[in-house]
Amino acid sequence: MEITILDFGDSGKKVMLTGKLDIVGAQKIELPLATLAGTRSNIVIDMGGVDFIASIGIRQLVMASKAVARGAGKLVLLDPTPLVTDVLVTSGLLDLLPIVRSEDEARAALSRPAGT
Amino acid sequence: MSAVAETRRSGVSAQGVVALDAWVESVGRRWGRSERTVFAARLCIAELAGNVVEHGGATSAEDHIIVTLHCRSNGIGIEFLDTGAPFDPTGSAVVAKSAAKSGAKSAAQPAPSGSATEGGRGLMLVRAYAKDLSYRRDGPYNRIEMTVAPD
Repeated sequence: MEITILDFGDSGKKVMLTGKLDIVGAQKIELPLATLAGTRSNIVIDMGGVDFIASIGIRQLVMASKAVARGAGKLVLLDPTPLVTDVLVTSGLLDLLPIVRSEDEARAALSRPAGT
Repeated sequence: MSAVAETRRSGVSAQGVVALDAWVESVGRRWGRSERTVFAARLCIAELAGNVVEHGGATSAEDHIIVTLHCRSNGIGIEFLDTGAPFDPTGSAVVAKSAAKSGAKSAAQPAPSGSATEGGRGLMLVRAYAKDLSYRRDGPYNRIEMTVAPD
């Protein structure tokens, strides 16, 4: 698992994940993602390069989403693969981890007031 | 049981879970199973193995996991054995590991981490992706059997 953090214009930060979000992948993203979420800026997580996800990886995403929300920010997941999308949908966490399919859709989601 | 089966033994560790996952992916592809079926098998095994690592109370190098994959016409059959604390994933029943085996080892817990929202997702995923999920205690092992198959 590789994690890269970039600016996402004026909207917040973009996190690019590549690899498996499994037990080891979750460990690798835990600190950088928690640190970023602690700044409470909006976060777009580009999931296109994640080819596997388990609940331990979802847990890291949920914790980051909750941390961001405490500062009235938002976290969205950008374009996960169909198989990863199925896991996220089955987990029933789309309220906390909304999925967008393009960067434009991400900007629109982040610009909406919290709770909408 | 099916005629074609492969078995892998792993230690109870994060790296062991990763190695198991790579093996499941390799076997599933070699058998020509669909990407979706192989993914489901990987997910179920990763969740069960991860649960053993996090909550199974393993204390020695002898603790281990044994996974057998069966190539079936309707998908992949999975036998998952572990020496962790007695734990029934079919009904969330958590039982303290016997004193004789565990000593001071504490009872396993069903994946809690901060809140109900974050914990317990793994077993929910196993129940969602697997069919014919069954459990029994088999000597020192938790024995979990299931099938993953295309919808």
